[in-house]
Amino acid sequence: MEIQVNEEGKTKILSLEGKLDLANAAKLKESVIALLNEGKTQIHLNMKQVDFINSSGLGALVSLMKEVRVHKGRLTLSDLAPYVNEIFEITQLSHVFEIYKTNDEALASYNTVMTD
Amino acid sequence: MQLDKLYDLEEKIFELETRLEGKSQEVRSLANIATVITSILDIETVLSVAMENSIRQVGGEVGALLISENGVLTVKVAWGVDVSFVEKLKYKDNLDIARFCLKNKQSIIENDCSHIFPVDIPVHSFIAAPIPAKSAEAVIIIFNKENGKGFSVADRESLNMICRFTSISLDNTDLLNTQLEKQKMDQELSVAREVQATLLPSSMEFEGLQLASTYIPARQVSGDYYDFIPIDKNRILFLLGDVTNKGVPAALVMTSVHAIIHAYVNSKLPIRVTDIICQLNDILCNDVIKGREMFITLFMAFMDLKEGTMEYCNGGHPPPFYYRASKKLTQRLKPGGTLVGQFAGLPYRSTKIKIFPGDRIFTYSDGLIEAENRAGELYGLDRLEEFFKAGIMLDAKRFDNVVKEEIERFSVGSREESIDDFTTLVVDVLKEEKKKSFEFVYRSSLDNLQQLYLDLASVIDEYNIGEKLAKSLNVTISEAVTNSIIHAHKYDESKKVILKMSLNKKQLVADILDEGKCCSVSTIKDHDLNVGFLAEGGRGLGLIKKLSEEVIISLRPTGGLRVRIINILKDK
Repeated sequence: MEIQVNEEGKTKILSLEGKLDLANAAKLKESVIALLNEGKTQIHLNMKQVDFINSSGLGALVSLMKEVRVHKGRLTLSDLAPYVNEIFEITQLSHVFEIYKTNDEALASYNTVMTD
Repeated sequence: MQLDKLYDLEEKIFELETRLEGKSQEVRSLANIATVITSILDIETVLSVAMENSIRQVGGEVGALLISENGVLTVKVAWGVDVSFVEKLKYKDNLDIARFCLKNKQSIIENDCSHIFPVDIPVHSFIAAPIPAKSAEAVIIIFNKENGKGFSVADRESLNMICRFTSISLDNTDLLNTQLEKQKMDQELSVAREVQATLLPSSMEFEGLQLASTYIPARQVSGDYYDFIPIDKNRILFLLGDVTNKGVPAALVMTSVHAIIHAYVNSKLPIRVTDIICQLNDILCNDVIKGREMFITLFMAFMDLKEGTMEYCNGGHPPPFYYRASKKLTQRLKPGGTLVGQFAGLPYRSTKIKIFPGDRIFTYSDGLIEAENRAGELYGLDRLEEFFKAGIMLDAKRFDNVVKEEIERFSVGSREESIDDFTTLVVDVLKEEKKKSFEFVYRSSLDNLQQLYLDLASVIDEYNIGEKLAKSLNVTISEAVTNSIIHAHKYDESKKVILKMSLNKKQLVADILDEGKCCSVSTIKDHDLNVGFLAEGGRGLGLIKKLSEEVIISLRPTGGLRVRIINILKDK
């Protein structure tokens, strides 16, 4: 899995590409935990290039969310492919994650929260 | 003197005014008659209104309106006079008044009939005028001017005018009736067309064959008929016939042929094409066609896919083309007897051949080979055979389409009456499709997941699986394989996960086999998606169940688990 990291204000944007399965879950977890340890606690995952996710991938995301909460940060997702979105719906995890349609919407939400 | 002149003038003016008044009354009354007559659209009413108004307008005692129907002149409306009376009045040229009037196409006035008719006939004057309608030949005759003087030129003008109004109305009515009749006929024909369409086979599916056909009636209904009747899962009867002529008579015979053949098949008699054709021939000769100049040409074949044979009989039909794939040869399937429905008791012979996967039979109606081009040249059998050979690499449906296009192209600009019913039936014997099954083996390492996705892609490609199922297969199978690696094998790379996949009809079965030490499936079976929101694991089996048609988990005889994931392949 390819992970590209960008920054927008205080938010780290991770653009993921490939299959989010057990083999790739570890890499994602490592990347995010490294950021958290640097004090970057606003994490956005752009899932546009993720064409596949299974329970291992979901498990990794749940684990990351819990980790972010410990660091009092925020984890957001955007640009879920239809099939990936369906998996989120089936597993009801769509109710747990903050999922935005687009990257911009997700980033705007951080700004809104900041000005509040 | 001057005063006298003045009186004279005054009298003349008075007279003129009176005449003018009379004329304008006459015109008004004629205008009324015109309005009434031309507004009626029922022949009987038009005629009786015309008669009544004519009598009143010209001031006659009695009258009659005669009309010529199929060359016979009959009294349609008799006004105070009896029919035989009018017909026996000979006038000139040994013709009665009506015939004379029709022949000369002009009105007649006779104010002195004493020298024309016998003395005992109480007719002293008459006026007659033809009704100049296109749709009917008719005459109005009025006898005896009421005032005893005789009919005037003005009366003639009035009567002529009424006759003209009547003719307009008759023609309108006739036009309307023709149109209504045509409309009704069209409606009935379009129902007939629907009925006929239901007689044609509704399904073109038969396992082991690819069937394609086109059916284009030249008119609303057609004398062409094609059918394929599955007898059981290996045997099918198919045929294509063409009743002589087009349109309704041909369609009626076609429906009989359909009924006779289906009755035979339903009777559970052994299916032999010659028996069916002989019976069809006899029934058509004795009960349906009965010596009319009609018949049907018919090609009938009975295919047994299990036996790999086709028995056919050609009853005077243009020869179907048969392509034998193994020899790359095309042959014409020649007659086994003459046309059907003209000679009762005739014998028919059948021919039985071996058929093989890849073979094609192409049957058609004569509308194809008798298609004409702009120059009046026929498409012909040889050209069709060449086209058949050239199109052999296309599948049945595609070939059927290009034949239609070819004939359409050929007959661009041809005479309309040269267009005949157009029917084709293409039967391809399909190659036996043995979909291969797959087996993949993976060591218990996550590094192998990438290989798994590649393997799945090749299966998806081979089985031609649609996008949605392809995606869920990626999830469910990787899920099961991951489970085996983590839970059953605990990353022990010496243990293998086996994936077997096969497609049977539309059922896609994937077995994921592991070498773990599970001894009870009951604890695993109950896994579902209800693990709470924040659980990191435990969703795998729930997802598999949710995304698959059926999941069966069982213990392998050698130990370990078998997870069977079943999906139904839908048409793309």
